[in-house]
Amino acid sequence: MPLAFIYFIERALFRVGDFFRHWYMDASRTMFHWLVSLLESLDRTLALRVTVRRFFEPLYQDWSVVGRILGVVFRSIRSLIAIFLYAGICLIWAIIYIVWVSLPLALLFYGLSGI
Amino acid sequence: MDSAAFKDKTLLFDDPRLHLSGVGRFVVRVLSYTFLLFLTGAAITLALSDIRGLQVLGVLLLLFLLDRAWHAGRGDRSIRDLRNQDPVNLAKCVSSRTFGILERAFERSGIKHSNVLLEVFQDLLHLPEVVTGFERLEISLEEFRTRLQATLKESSTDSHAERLKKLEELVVGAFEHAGRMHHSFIEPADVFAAFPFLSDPAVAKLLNIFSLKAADMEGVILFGELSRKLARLSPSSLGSFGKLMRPGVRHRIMNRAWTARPTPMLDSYSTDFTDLARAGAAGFLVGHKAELERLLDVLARPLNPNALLVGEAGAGKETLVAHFAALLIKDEVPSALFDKRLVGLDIAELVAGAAPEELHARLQRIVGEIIEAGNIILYLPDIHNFLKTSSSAYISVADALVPILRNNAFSVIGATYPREFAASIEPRSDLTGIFEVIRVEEISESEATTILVYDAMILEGQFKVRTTLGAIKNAVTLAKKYLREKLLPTSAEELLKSALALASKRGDKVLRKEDVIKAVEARVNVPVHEATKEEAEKLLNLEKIIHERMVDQEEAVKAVADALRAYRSGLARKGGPIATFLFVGPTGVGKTELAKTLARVEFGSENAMVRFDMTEYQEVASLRRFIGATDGSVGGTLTRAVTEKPYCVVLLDEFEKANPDILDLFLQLLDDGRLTDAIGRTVSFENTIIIATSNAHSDLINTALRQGQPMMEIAEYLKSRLTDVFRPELVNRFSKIVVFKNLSPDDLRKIAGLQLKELGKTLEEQGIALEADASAIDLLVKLGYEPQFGARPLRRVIEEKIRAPLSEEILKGNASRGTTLTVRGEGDAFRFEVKS
Repeated sequence: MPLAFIYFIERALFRVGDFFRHWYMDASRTMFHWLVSLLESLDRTLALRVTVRRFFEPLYQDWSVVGRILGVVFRSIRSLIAIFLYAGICLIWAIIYIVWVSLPLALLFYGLSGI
Repeated sequence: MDSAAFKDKTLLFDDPRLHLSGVGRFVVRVLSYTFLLFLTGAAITLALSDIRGLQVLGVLLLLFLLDRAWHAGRGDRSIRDLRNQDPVNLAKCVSSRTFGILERAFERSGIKHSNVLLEVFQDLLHLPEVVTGFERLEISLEEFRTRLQATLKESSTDSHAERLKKLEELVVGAFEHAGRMHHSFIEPADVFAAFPFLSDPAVAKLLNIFSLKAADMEGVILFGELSRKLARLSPSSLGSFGKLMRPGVRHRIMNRAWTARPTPMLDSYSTDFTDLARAGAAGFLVGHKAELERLLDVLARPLNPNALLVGEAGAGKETLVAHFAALLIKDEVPSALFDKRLVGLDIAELVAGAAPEELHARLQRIVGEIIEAGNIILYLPDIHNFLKTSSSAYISVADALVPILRNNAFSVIGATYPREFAASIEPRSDLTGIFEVIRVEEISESEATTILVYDAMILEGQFKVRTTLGAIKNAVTLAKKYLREKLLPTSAEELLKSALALASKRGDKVLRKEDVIKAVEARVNVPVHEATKEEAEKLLNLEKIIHERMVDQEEAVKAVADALRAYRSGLARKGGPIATFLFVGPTGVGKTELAKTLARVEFGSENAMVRFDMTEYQEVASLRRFIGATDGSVGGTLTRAVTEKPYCVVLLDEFEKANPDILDLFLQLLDDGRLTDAIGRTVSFENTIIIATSNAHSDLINTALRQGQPMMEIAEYLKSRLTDVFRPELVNRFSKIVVFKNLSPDDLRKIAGLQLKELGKTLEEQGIALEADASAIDLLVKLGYEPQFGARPLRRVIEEKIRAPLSEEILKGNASRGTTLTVRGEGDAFRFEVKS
């Protein structure tokens, strides 16, 4: 019978540790995957990687000077939009992540200090 | 997570709860639930408190409880989380549902002194996925449960430690299965699938009774998994784009880098595979991994980035291309192929209604567009057709393309069949130099089974008939064996569909393996089912049945009867023809007759006999006729015949007269049951009976018989002398060498009776009865007996002396419907009497 009580206490403590592990480790991993998947799916449209790689190529094979200039202009605009959008998404993600990470500790701190 | 990541690690299963007493485990459960209830109450109370600090702590406690609820049912750690541990305690990755089953079984086995593994199995039988699994396996759950309970009654003397050890073995097996299925935790289905791998004799005996094999149990688990996954997928996403062609798919002219140009002319004569892939129709691919890797490597290289897929119809060439398109849109390709479009050119539309000049202009424009666009991978299905575009003014698309392809201006994927490849493409070095040939082979039976499981899920919805795993496996095995005109999975898919259609028509709710057997029997007209009682009796009396048309030749008749019995009882040698015989003996003694009888008895008709007169294959050049020409222009007579009739008797008359090079072909054929034709296609002879006949040394038989030697001695001597004619290794490869003996006058008398009976049957159709008395038979034997020619002269005598005069009688009107003709022998002539 004492073994049962020891096991019960051990499990209760394990569950507390488990809560923090889920909150920090598992949730961080999941949130990071979300971010990467979102950026990847956006890049299928905004194509930052492909645009940068072909930055100086003329637009639609128009090898004239105008085509070359337009290529750089349009690609610059597109790249800037992509960079701003990606940066914005990363920023929002970072804010959410920081809030997420600090939530349990903040609750614990305010809870204990508020009693 | 693949269980390979745990290779060389110590796997154990140790949970403290299993070391507690029954009361202890009960206390832990009660405490756990009570404590959770207490925490819930405390969280609500605190959250509703007026003190701010307590409110915040209440929220934190609620978050803790929500986390518990979210993770309820899961193990402590996922399999992936354990990969860095050694030793690995698998108790951590067992789901609560699984642990509940193990714990209860462990407890019961302790109280009842029963086998812990069987207790686990008993609990598993209540799970819905296992119940469905048994239904798919065509095993009666009730019968299994009864048998299991009977076995459970046998007491077990296992100690606590031994029972734990058994559980550990079970969990380790389940863990390996969970790894293969990419599960995060060990689920009850994994435990179910682990049973066939256990060393416990009681479990092995139980599974053996119901013929439950590891592959079957894994198969039904896969069925369950796929049905869950498929519920989320669109059914149309299976197979190649051939099924998906539909108008209204948005066409993207621009590529993402904004470098490509529009291709209006090309678009009007082609299908954009990348557009179709983007429309949500994933290219579903099972197998062909090596071919896909090779295709990606070839297309990504800077020089000659052109691939030629060579494979039979239905081998999966288009599926491979469709899957490649799906990879392209997901950027899951080498960087050189990033942002490309895969476009299939339709030759029929291209040449339709175009004069040679017009066709030339179209081609020029299309090629120009492709080069300008710079991101096109051109797919040319049936590329051999591009070589014969116009017969009037020879303008071949290939001729126009070759110089451009040589400059690596764009990539091309071609697809063709082996015969067309050998005939039209291989001889052209300008084409073969540009393309890397990728052979697309037929997928394996296990891969075809996986595809059919997917198909079955979709077809179940259409036909409202549930498909068992046995039916699917049978469809694959039987299609591979009997329906060789198409490759797997197409042949198996068609068979499954026809079986489902028949079952649906009959109003059946479940498609069982027997239904598939019936469907295949209806198509090939060959008995495929296990021998029924009536049929078994027929097989046991086979000699008697054969003797209804064969006289004497006991040894030969017994040899073929034995072979048939072995085949129908499933004991025939695997990986070779059903049986191979060398029939040796003088002419006219029944060698061909026995082959015909065999075809009729085993394959339902004498038409199932493919006969080759080997005297026609005496030249080396005749090898070309036998297995086809290397350029594919001439098909092989032997290979084609067996491809068309895979279940037949192959009769090789006067075998010794064939060219030695042709005889060498049979070394492999007689051994492996396979023959590769001149263009590299392998033809299976596994459903054939091969009979080679030979008259070699029949003079020896005649001489010995004249000297009065017994037939047994003559046969042995003859067999030893066969190496004078055939190479010893060839003689050794026959499953049986049968020496036919000369016919005695008594034998001839019986044959005369049989042949007259046959003639009588023909006359019966015209309403005329034929009677022949003993004097007629005596005269027939007298006139037709020539020992060196066997029964052949007898047939000639019947033709000349009986059939011909009878024809005259019928034409004169002397013998008409309702009359009886009696034949008598008088002196050296036959006399006919007509009675009305």
